[in-house]
Amino acid sequence: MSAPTAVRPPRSRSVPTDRPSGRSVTRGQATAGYVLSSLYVLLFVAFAFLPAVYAVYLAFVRPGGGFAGIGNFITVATDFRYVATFKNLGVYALVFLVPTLVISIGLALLLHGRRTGVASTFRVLYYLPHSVIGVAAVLLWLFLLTPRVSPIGGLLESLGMEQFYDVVRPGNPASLAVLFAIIAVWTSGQGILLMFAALSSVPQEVEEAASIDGANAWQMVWHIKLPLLRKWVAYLLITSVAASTQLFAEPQLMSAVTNGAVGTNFSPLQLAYTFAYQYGNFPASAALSIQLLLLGLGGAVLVVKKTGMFRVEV
Amino acid sequence: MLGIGAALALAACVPGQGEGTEDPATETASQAEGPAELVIWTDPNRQVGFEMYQDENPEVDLQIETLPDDIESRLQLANQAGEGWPDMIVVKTQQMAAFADAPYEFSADISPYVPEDLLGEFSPAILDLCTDGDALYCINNDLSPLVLWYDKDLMEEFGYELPTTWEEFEALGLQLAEEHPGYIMGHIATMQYLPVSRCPMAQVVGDMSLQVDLEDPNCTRVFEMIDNMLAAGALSPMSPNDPEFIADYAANRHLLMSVQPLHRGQYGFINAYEWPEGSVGIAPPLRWEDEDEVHNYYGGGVAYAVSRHSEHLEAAAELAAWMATGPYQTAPETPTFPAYRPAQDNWIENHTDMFYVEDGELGDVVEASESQLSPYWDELNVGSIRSSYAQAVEPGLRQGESIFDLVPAWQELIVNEAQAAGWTVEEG
Repeated sequence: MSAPTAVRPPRSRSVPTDRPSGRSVTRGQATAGYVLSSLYVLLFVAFAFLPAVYAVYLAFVRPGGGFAGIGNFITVATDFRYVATFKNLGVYALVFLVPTLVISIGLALLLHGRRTGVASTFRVLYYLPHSVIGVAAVLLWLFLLTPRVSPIGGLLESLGMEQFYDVVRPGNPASLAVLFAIIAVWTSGQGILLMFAALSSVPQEVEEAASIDGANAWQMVWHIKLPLLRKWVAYLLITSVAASTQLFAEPQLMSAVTNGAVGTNFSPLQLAYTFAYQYGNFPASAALSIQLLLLGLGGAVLVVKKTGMFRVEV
Repeated sequence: MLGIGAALALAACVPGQGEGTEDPATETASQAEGPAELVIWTDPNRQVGFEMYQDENPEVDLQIETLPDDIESRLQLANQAGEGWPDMIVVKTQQMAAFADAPYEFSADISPYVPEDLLGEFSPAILDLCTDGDALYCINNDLSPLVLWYDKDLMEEFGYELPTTWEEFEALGLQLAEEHPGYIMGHIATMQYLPVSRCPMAQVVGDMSLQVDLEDPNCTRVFEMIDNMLAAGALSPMSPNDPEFIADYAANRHLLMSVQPLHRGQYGFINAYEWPEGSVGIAPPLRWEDEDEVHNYYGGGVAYAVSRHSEHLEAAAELAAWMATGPYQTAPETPTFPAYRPAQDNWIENHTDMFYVEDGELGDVVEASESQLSPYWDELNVGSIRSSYAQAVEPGLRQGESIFDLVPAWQELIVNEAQAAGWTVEEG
């Protein structure tokens, strides 16, 4: 529910204090801005905001109608799978977030400062895995992880894994969560691009000044580039937290290919799906979805507070 | 978030999910006049049948939608929206009874529109899945009763005799493992052995009330057989469709015999395992030694259900009866074994050259398997109960654990899943 699109990237360039030259926005530019953003806003309201409002309403209605109080939240929280799904999500989010940030920032730093041709070639290479996402990515991974057909089958078998079940270990939720996280990290190309773009906006003068002062490459990274990246890291973190609460397609597909050995209630979103479509209990499903929305929002608020993301630097 | 959950859990009241379902809307929609326009949700297999009907009956306008496997969620969405139901759907075994009840409340009683003598022509017991007292909530298209498949050439080479009881099946398995290591008696088909043994895995004993008792002797005798045969290496813990199973046992003819449904003869043994026609032996289902009769079970099978929201109930019910009993059942495009008995001869004729029968004819074996059906297991549409075995037991078996060690966790999972779906559960 908490779509990453809900959070816009910080438009630091539009903060007047960034550009003291004092270029003011003309009336024509303002109109163009409204027109260009209106389509997005319309779609956002229709397909993200209004459904979220409806979910909030549903969450407090009894399945048969009438005000439910927190009844639906109790139904969900007392479900025997509730705690387990959030545990799975926790492991997944942790294993997904940390490498995503490290890889995005690290590779972007390595690319930054390379010759343009080299940098753009590698940018494309890093982004390539992102072109195979969601269900397609999982299918690709299933192929990779089936020893008999995998191109790395020899490696898997030398590690003692002869069957798909030895690799996937459906009885072990933690190892599954790590597997899903690895599949997700593989697609962190977008983060690399974002960070690279952010680094490119670091004013040339600042870098020059630092190198004149005798800063070496490491000092440049630690004291100049990383602090200037802070807002962008915050943005990446917010969208990644929100994205990780939406874990659904990977475990759902894994359940199908293991004939149910991986249950259909691995993640909270799957449990919400079960409530709606197996029990016909849409209010309980909404109650669970709202908790995921709050999780994403809470993460965003925390990040914004800690990093001062919207603070205007004077 | 977990903190909130724990705090909420402290509040004692736990509303059941069955709430708001006390009022099953059994009333049907008001009927429309004029030529019928019917919206059909079908699986890809049955699509050709509806097209045949359309060709024969141009006065009826069929809107055929071929859906992926998501009929349940679409019905729930239609229920939530209060509109958008189809007039007819193709339902799977576990949906036949379930779609008449909450939370779906979809299937209409079509008994007024279907002649009673027509219903008398169906395989016994298979129609039970569609009936509730006098009400008829669907009409069965096909069934796939369990039979004993075997490798005729291998049986002759080894000089073994076909088992007729589960005890003989186990004894032969142990003998096979000792005399011919590497050869097996099939996969561990627990979910098919158990209903044949009438084990109360999840037995409906009342309104939204279940009995779950995996310690019942009817269950433990199956577990003992599995453990003995597994320890000897006479059964494989893999699934019969696993590429590994096919490579290690099936395609290289190391599979002496296997309890599998009727449709697997063509689609499994001949198409997937690539055994030559005539080498695939078929024998009647097994019984337990101390019992006189076979309580056979089935795998798969679909039926046609009509919507209680349909404005053309009669036309839809006619179409359902036509699909189940009309020329579609004997058409070459029809891949399944008909539930409608007069159409079964055609299937038997088409498959006679394919399979080898030791005594008598294919028709005898088929009749023995379909006439002794006794669907002891109620088909629940609690998907997670059906898949609980795959979740709680199968991975452990693949790691070489004893099934007895896995059963307690399995029972716990069944009970939890059933309660979460609003059922009361009796254990033991």
